[in-house]
Amino acid sequence: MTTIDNDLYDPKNYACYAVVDNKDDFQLHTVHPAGLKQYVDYDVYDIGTKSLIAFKKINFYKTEFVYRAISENKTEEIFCENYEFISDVLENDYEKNKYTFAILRSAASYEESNEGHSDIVDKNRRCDLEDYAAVEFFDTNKENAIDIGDREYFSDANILGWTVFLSSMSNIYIVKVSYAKEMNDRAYKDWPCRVYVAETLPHAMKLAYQWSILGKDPWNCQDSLAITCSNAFDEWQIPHDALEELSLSQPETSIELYFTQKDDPRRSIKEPADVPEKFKKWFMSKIRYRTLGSLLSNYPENLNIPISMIEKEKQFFETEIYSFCIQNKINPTETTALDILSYAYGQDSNYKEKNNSITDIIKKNTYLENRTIIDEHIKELLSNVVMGQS
Amino acid sequence: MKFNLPKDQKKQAYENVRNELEKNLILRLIAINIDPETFDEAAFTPNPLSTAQLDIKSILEKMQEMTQKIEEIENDDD
Repeated sequence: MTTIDNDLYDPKNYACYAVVDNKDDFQLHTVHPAGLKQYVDYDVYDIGTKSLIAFKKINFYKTEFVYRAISENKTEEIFCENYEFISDVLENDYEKNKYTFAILRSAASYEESNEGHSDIVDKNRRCDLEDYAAVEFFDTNKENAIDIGDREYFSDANILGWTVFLSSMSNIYIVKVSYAKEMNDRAYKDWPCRVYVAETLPHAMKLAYQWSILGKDPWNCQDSLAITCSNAFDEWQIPHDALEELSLSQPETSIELYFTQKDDPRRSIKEPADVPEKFKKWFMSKIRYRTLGSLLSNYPENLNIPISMIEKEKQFFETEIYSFCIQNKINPTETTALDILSYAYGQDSNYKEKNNSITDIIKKNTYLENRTIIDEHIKELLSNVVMGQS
Repeated sequence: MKFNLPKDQKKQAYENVRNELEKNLILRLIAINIDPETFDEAAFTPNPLSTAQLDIKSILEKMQEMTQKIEEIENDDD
């Protein structure tokens, strides 16, 4: 690992950032079931008591859900997702009835994930598309598919996509699943998947934590979900007080209801969606951030990022926006970020997001005023782009 | 928010645009088998019937415009 002089920092080279405590000579790897693969598309900067990892690419293969910084004495993990794409959940500012959170198994092979049935799940129903780390997912059309959830809700037409929040390769993923129509909790509470599907992230985490406890002494449950959850929690090393706080913040899960026989495990559960502070703090120290400005203002600890680097990033964004205006004969002193976005999205119907394109720069730019208005405008514009393409 | 920048950044923005134009120019020259290394801008007269050559002329004019802007900014004492 070569640490780059902070004075040589050039924001145009980077797509996102993460921080690790490791100050030793570490190497970054992506984690795969077959082992580790060395990852090289990054630079490292010294920011006092921590190291700043500047990633050159944001696009990742669908199996690169987790990075591992390894030195002789220390191993640290970074989840691939960026704060900006999941902040709605972390800040509890999203529409709850269009999503669920699920514990999905990650397996060393696609066949293994389906217990020997090679083609039960269509490829397009998986969170990953490689030959390994397959994710068990609901299927509705295949012959011999087991009904684990309500087919009306867990259908190709209704599942819009997923976001992997936490990953433990070969064990489990904690995944946010998006639906086209409002989710009714009977779609999973009345079905076997009730033990690994929840409405909120904290409840799904509590479910996974309880499965992990079941996998350990004195229960030693041999269910694969208990074993893989147990392995995942060993790997994640979430502080005990954070897990305690998480458990106390959520009502009894279907697993607890079953074991305590207090109530029907199938009953609806009102899940508070606020992510408990200690867990959130741990999680936010393990994810990536699109910009240095965002990292500085959202990372759960004070970071010693030199002001010169922050200034360079801000100036880079400003200059790129100004250049775009010159290129397109837009008067920069008479235009707003919203005008530029509308212009850029309207220019090309085959629009594709790229790192440090003009729209990307405006979308991730933490230095712009009226951030909320810009974000709303982006949602509206993007829905038009998608509608225009379909 | 409206966008206004200090002198150095404005100059950088114009230089960025000129660099992009230069890249486009090189690609177009290569496409019509003109060596960018030996290309003589001053002597270049486009064939009015050649869209590619007219395009090159247009890029050269835009580059000239950017150069003038850069000089104006450099000479601006404010």
